[in-house]
Amino acid sequence: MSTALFIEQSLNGFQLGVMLFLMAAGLTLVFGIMDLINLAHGSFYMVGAYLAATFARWLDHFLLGVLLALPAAALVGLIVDRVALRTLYRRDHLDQVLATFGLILFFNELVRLIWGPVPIPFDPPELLSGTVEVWPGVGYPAFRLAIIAVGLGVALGLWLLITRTRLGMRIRAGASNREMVTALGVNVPTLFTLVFALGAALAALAGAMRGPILAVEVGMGEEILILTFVVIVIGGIGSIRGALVGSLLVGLVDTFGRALLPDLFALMLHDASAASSVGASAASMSIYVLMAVVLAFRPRGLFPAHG
Amino acid sequence: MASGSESPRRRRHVALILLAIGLALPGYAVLVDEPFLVTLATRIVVLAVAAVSLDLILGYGGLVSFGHAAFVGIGAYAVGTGFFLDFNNDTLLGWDGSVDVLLIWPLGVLVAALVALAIGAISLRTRGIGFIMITLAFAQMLFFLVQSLRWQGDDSLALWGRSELPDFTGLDLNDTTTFYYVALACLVGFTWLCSRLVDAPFGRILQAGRQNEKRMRALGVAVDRHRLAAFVIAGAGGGLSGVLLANAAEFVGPAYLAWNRSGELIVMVVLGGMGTLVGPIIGAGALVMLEEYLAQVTEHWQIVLGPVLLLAVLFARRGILGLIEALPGDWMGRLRRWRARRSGDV
Amino acid sequence: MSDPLLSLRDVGRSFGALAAVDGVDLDVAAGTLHALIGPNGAGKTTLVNLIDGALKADRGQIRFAGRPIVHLPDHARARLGLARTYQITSIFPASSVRDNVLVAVVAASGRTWRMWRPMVRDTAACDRAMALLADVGLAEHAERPAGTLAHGQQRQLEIAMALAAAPRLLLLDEPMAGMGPEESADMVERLRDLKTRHTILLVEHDMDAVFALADVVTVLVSGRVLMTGAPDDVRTDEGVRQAYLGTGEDAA
Repeated sequence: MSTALFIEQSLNGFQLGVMLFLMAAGLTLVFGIMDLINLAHGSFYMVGAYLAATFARWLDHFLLGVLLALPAAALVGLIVDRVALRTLYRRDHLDQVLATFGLILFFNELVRLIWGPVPIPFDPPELLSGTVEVWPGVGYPAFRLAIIAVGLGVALGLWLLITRTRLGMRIRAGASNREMVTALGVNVPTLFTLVFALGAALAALAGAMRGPILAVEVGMGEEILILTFVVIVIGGIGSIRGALVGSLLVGLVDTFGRALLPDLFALMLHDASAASSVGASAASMSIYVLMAVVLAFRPRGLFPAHG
Repeated sequence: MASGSESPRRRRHVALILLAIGLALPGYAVLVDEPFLVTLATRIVVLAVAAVSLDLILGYGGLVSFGHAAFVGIGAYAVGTGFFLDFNNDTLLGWDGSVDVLLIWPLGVLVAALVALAIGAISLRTRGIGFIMITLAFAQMLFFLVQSLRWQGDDSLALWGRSELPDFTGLDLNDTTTFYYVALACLVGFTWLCSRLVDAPFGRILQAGRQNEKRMRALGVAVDRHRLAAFVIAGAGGGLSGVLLANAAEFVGPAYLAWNRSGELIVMVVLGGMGTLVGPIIGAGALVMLEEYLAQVTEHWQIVLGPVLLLAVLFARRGILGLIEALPGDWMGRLRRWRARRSGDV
Repeated sequence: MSDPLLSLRDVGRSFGALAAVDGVDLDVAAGTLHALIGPNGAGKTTLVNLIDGALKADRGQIRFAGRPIVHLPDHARARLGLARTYQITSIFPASSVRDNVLVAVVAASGRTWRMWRPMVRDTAACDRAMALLADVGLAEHAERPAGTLAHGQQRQLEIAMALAAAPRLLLLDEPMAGMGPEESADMVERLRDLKTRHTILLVEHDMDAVFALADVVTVLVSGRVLMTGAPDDVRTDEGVRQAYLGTGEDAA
């Protein structure tokens, strides 16, 4: 593997990693604090992408479109929380799975109803359409670099919020010991709502930024949702640090798996077509193998948050 | 919570009524000249096998497995692979394929069980949300695996016929009604096996472990192995459903393993009434018919189905069977007296 | 004198900086009722959890019936003949009272893998379950869901479940917690009867009950053994009085 390819793939893996972190941060807190499994988190990602694409077209401005989509998605999150999920906090996980599964069907169909079944166009901003030379002779799309920068910035902001503020202290306490937060006299429903809306906005941000790279289409949320689950399982449910480490690990393993494994198999199998097929499947399976290995040794993930 | 031991009498009546409907359906379809009914009923029966098997771990074991479609897919792919090799005179690891029911169906069930053993052994190290996500992730892994398979360039395979029964049976599964009855026999047989299982000490330990694992351990039983065994049996049931599904649809593709299929199976179990075995059969029927009906009303039927699920979860916690069992009065007794009166008249 | 049935040497367990159990030596002789008392937070329940394996000990040795058990998981210890009840009642609330005991009987028999014959058709097991229920006075409630029993009855049920295994040692963690005077009196009679047939380690706050029943009393304070002795010696010991009995009205 050449240096250029290595740098490019590292950046790709990093970019996927920070996206996954935006998804995982909100979701793992919701798991940790509310003990709520929310399958519809991927719907916020999808809704975020659709709203951002639509707002950007109306305003003819990418950044404004994205910035407007975030509070809108947070609002959607609030409504979902109030209407559907509030009653589910005290139910068992099975009820939560079913109800939020219903929500996915609902959101997918709603989006199809409003925007139609075909993917909608969403172009990256003109300003960031070029490439940047990140290493002598190695160009990398500016937009993707911007994604990494924004992702890292948000991760840093989240880290500061959670480690340095009173709100963050309450959130952390809530994620590791729910009873304690209640005992401390924190207004738990408000805390829940805040965390939930924050999670929805972060997911929407991820969707809005990834939309121009992939397609903005119905069902885009599910694929990343399942990847996010893998991240959270690897990192440890309820742990922000685990979410960060897990995201980067999954992002890099997935990216390098896709880049390297087909070649590796071609080398071993001496049959290019068979190898590319086997290699491709091995690549898409690599993160699940990673998850299985982690779980085999640490059933509660790398950074268990509870007790 | 339904524990599988309460109100078994009415449940048995419901099961018998369902069986009677199942047996009579092809005749009814001929009578009203709606041959499509048999195809629809076959689909329900096939999915019901998967739903019943899922109930074993979900309802009785208390484990929310979100990857059950994977086992269905494995069963289907066993049929597809056997068919493909046989049809193209190809071999895989020295095997030249088969379309023989007696070989390929048990093979599909066995492979599904073995994969369930591997997945269960790792997944059962976790609990709660972790278990849900891990079973989902493993199913997704298998989904990607089969998606990368190529049947002469395509990721799905249309079969040109169904598995073959030995000649002495005189049965041809390509006949819609024959296949329906074979599938029904599989469902009845599997459900009966499961009903023995859940009332036997094995099943009772499993249920007790769901209610209070700490107590069960203090009584000297670590329920983990029982759970794993149940998971494997459920996987085998999923494989059986898949074997039937591939034959019913005469098609095999990655969509069988898609994650929303797993979700639908959970919906069937809960909608019908979990921890009852009979409930999931009702749930399978209800969901398939609901989809069928809603799809006729609107193209966007899922926008209705989603909230329906939400409401069902919030307000009908014990499922359709729970509603039936909660019906006031001794309706079976009334039915029997009514029949007795009528036969007395003759 | 023969070896004790249960023997702890320097057993300890910490939670973070807190040493909940801190180097406990304890011997329970076969055929005795050994009471474990101590003020709240002394580490009594933690100690019981260390003995039955619900918690792992950080250090020390535990021997039961002559063999080391400290490395065994909880269910394996149960199979050696350790049975317990919990401070907070632990039963199968959705199952019938009879099925609760029946599951315990089946678990003790080791026939938990039978997959064909219904559990309720195992007449021998059913007879044994009903006999156990009769012993604790719950035979007439056999068909009720266990969760609908009164609190005191649930505690009796838990004892019947613990007895199903014909255990060599009964660990009873505050069996009278939350009981009224009448239920408590019933329970004292039950324990008086049980101690004629079983070795018992009893954790209890009710001092009247402890001094009425116990052959040996161990006083645990801040995770350490303050003293072990005959009930009368413990009752009159000045150290115990100061550390424990003097702090409440329980001593009366």
